[in-house]
Amino acid sequence: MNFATDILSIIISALISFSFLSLATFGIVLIFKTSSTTNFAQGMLGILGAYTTSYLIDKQGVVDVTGLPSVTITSPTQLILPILAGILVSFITGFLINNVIFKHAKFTNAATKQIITMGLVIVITGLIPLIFGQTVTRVSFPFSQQTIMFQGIAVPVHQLITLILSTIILLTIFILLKYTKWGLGVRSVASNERVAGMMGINTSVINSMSWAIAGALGALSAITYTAAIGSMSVVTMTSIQINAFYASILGGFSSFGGPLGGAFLLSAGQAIFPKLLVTWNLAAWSNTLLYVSIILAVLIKPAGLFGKKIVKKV
Amino acid sequence: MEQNKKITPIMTYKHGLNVKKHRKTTLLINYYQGLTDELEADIKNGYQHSKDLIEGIYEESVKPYQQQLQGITKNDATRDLKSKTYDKKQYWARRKYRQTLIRKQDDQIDQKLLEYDQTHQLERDNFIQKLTLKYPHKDLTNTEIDRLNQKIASCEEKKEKQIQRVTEKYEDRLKKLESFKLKNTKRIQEKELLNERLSKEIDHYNQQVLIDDQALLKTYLNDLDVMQSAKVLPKSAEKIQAKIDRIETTLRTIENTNIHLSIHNLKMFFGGIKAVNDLTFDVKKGEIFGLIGPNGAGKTTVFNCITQFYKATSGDMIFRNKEGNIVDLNERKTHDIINEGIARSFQNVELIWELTVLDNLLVAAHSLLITNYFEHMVHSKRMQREEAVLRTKGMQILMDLGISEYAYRSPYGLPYGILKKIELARTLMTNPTLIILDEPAAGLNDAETEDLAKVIKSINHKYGITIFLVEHDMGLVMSICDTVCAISFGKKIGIGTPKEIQQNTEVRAAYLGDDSDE
Amino acid sequence: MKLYYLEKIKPFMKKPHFGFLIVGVLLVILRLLVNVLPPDIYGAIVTTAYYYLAGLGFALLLGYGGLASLGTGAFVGIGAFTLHFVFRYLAMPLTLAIIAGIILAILVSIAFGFVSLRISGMYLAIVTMGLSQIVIEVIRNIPQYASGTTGGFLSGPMARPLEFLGMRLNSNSAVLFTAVFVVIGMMIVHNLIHSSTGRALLSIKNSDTAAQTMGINLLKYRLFAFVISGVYGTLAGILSMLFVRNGNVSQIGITFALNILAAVVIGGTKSVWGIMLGTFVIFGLDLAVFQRFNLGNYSLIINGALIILVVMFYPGGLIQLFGDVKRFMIKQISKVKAHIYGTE
Repeated sequence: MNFATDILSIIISALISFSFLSLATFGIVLIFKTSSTTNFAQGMLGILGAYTTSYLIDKQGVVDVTGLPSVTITSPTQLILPILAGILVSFITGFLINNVIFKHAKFTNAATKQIITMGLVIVITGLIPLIFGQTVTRVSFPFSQQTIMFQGIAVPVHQLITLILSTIILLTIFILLKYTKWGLGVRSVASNERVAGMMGINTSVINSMSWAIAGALGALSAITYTAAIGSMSVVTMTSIQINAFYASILGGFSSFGGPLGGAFLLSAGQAIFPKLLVTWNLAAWSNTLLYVSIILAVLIKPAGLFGKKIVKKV
Repeated sequence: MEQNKKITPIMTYKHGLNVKKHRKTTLLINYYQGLTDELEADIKNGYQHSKDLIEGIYEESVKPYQQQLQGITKNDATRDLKSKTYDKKQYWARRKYRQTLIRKQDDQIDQKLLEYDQTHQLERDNFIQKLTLKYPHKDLTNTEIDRLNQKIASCEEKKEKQIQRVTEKYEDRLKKLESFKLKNTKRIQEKELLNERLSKEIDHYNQQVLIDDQALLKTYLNDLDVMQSAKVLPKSAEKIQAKIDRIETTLRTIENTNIHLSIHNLKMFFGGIKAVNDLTFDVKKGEIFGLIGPNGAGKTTVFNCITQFYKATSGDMIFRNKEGNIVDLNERKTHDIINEGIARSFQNVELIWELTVLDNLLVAAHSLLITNYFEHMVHSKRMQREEAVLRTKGMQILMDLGISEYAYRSPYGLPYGILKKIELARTLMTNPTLIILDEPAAGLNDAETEDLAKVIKSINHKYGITIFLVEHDMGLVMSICDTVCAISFGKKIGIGTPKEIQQNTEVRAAYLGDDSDE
Repeated sequence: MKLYYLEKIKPFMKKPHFGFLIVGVLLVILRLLVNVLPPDIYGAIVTTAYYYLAGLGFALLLGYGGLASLGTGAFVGIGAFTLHFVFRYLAMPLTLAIIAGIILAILVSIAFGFVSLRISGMYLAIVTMGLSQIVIEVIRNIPQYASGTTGGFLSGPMARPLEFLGMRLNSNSAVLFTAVFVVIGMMIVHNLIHSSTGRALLSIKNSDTAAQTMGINLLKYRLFAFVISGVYGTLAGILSMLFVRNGNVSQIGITFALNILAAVVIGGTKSVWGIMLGTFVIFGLDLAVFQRFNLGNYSLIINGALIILVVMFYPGGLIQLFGDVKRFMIKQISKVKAHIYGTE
């Protein structure tokens, strides 16, 4: 293994983790900017969609003898519909969360909204086994089982497709944000909700759509991620969500793109640290060190690496 | 003496500690001085309370015996009790009946009630007769009378013994109090000696600083001359000039005992925005000083620099603190400003909605506390006394301002004028020498503003507190201020008495409008 | 005798501290009933009691400090695993192990406190979540614990049995420890709330600029709040180790911190009794009722739904609800009375 291949493999694995992380991170950022809520339920929203997808895929074929799902993927259409269904479920759930809960909450400052999302986490954690059955893990299905070789490194096709998919989606969203009326509306609400409302922007629609879109993004992230690791449980998305939060505070919430930069740095860190530490036999500490470095970075720049500080007038 | 000894950082650090200790010791002395009176009152009240309790117990235990002696035997008491219970039941039954009639909208209510009463009177008479038969009155025999008197006598004995015991304890405590008083006086003397020593050291330090400053001044002026003749870069010359300015301002403030706060060449830049640009003025002791200017002129920024929320970009703020010493406010931390004697109020009311008004005042007295959090965790006696004293003080201030009726409720929902008064009350809790008011009349109507003017003036007269305020309401400013300073875009455009300012053309153009009939 | 009662005891009964003492007495009585009650209910009550302690510390931080820290789990872990480590592996006496745990808690909470100065509000929750993850990772990676996620056992083939002041402690006597700590903990928190320190914390929460003008040192009080909350959490961890005799790292992660948050929010952040109510609803009911009937998932759903409903409609917590219900009942009763008996 020469140096170039090492670097390349680091970059590729960083890109791969980034593909899952970016979608989740963006969902968190979107909700944070528009309704000033740190959505702790982002991961759960996503896994809800993933469970739906998996359930629908499995329903297509059940072995008579054991009653266990057994499906072989023969055509892409078997996958696409359940995936879309899963995304739709999370989309609608996100929408409902905003319209049923947040709209009617009497005293909503940022802390209470945060607590509400924490409550949602617990509710969904309990709800999923009830709806989908007591099986702890459900195997989800990847886009493709193949791998291709790139400069001597094995890249699974599934991750490649995910990467391409998430890049396309994020680029689309960025373009929409910048150049469409809807995008302008989102940015105004993100800047100052009250004034945006007074300027004639329908803030409740914007908020609902933001939650819905965040749900959809979370679902996509969960579906692709569980497919990549080949298993799914209620807590699968927890680590991704924690990383998404880290990425957001690393990048800084003051822009839409900052957290994505943070997500990339984090993914890079996840690839680099183990490689560095394995020489001293400390590979197990790589996660810890990664988190510690992020916290140190945030301490040095509390508004995030790409963020700007806002001064309050007394 | 140690002339020409330069002030080392260690000396400055020690000086800071001395000042803190001196203030704490003063507070402790005040506490000790009030302590003995309180303890004495405590003991006396406790004694009285115990005696009252003993009396109460005696009365209670003796009452039945005395009743019997007076001719009310046990039977009589039972009869009495039962008839009372019966009557009570009857009362409620009658009311129920009456209410039923009213609800049915019966038009013969009075007549029906009369009938009801008549029937029940007969029943009651019956009942009383039966009672009298069942519990007849029996006179006491002599043995019984003797026995009762004995019992009463034994109760009296018990009471006497108890009173004796309690009195012994009381006298014991008084004795202990005497010896405690001696210890306390000794303690006070010790602390006062400590304070004297600390004052001496503080004075010595201040003197030393003065001497050093004067020497430095000469050196700097010299250097400046050299630089100017050698045409050195302006940057270093600026630095020297800044140092010279600081020393000169300090010396000037020391000399002129009338000056309370001296602001010199204050600059506060936020990046490219020059919020305060070269502001210079003096606030004299005991006066009401007003700062006026259009919105965005930088008035609140001036306040925030003085109270060290922002570190000024450059400039000097020299203050004569409540101990009479000259301090450079730039060297103080935000939460230390109040210890120098400066209290401020805010443009937006920043009260704590979760506490009562009185509790809000208690928070303001935080710098006067002598207890630490360990004592708070256990609610020591010292903490309870301290709290009682502060509550009394707070109540007094509220009464002076006429808002004592709101003392025990949350400030939430009170009219804006009252909230502003509470903010004002808050500033008075620590006996400051300078109060900074940020737009005190904002949001008040004419009547409330007049009231506020009266209150500010009375505070100024009664306590001699210097008031430094920022206001837009020209009526208020012109009526109560002794000196007015007008600023625009961070620069001073005029300073003088209200009359002079009103006639200042620049001020009129920038702010008042050319039509001023105030 | 009567005099003594009137002079000393009656005034004490009026104070809230009396109620706290009653709680302690009840817990001690519980110890005596250990053979009567079914073990899972006994366990549920004891667990609720020391989780309540952790909740108290957390409530001080949240309700009075205004600092949403999700680090409670980390401190429980520090308590439990330090006790185990020092007692078992370093073979030190029990008291020393407890003191070591508390000292470590103080150090870590000071670290948390310093972090909180740079980061505010919502970010703080995220960062403390991260810090607590780090603590868990550290525990997990220590060689003695590296056998997966399980902590050590204090029962089984042990070097030495637990002894305190010469008395041998079995698992059930942990209740006595719990009783003592809970009562003292309640009293201290109550005293703090009704003192200048509590008020200073509230003023920082409402407006730290105004607090500074009044002479309150932000750093000092923030650190204080964190240290108290950390120590309380650690004590809870120590008690859990004394009682349950083993520890599992996964039990003290984010879910635990969220549950504590739920307990405090549902019960009522500002009141000592409210927190007890909340802890009971979240943990007690779960352990005593739901686990018994295998309805674990339902308990999760109910807990989460409760959080949302309470926060939406009753931010003061269930305690506030009780107060309102009480007032409502009183009003209704007097209405009924007027209806039946009329007015004079």
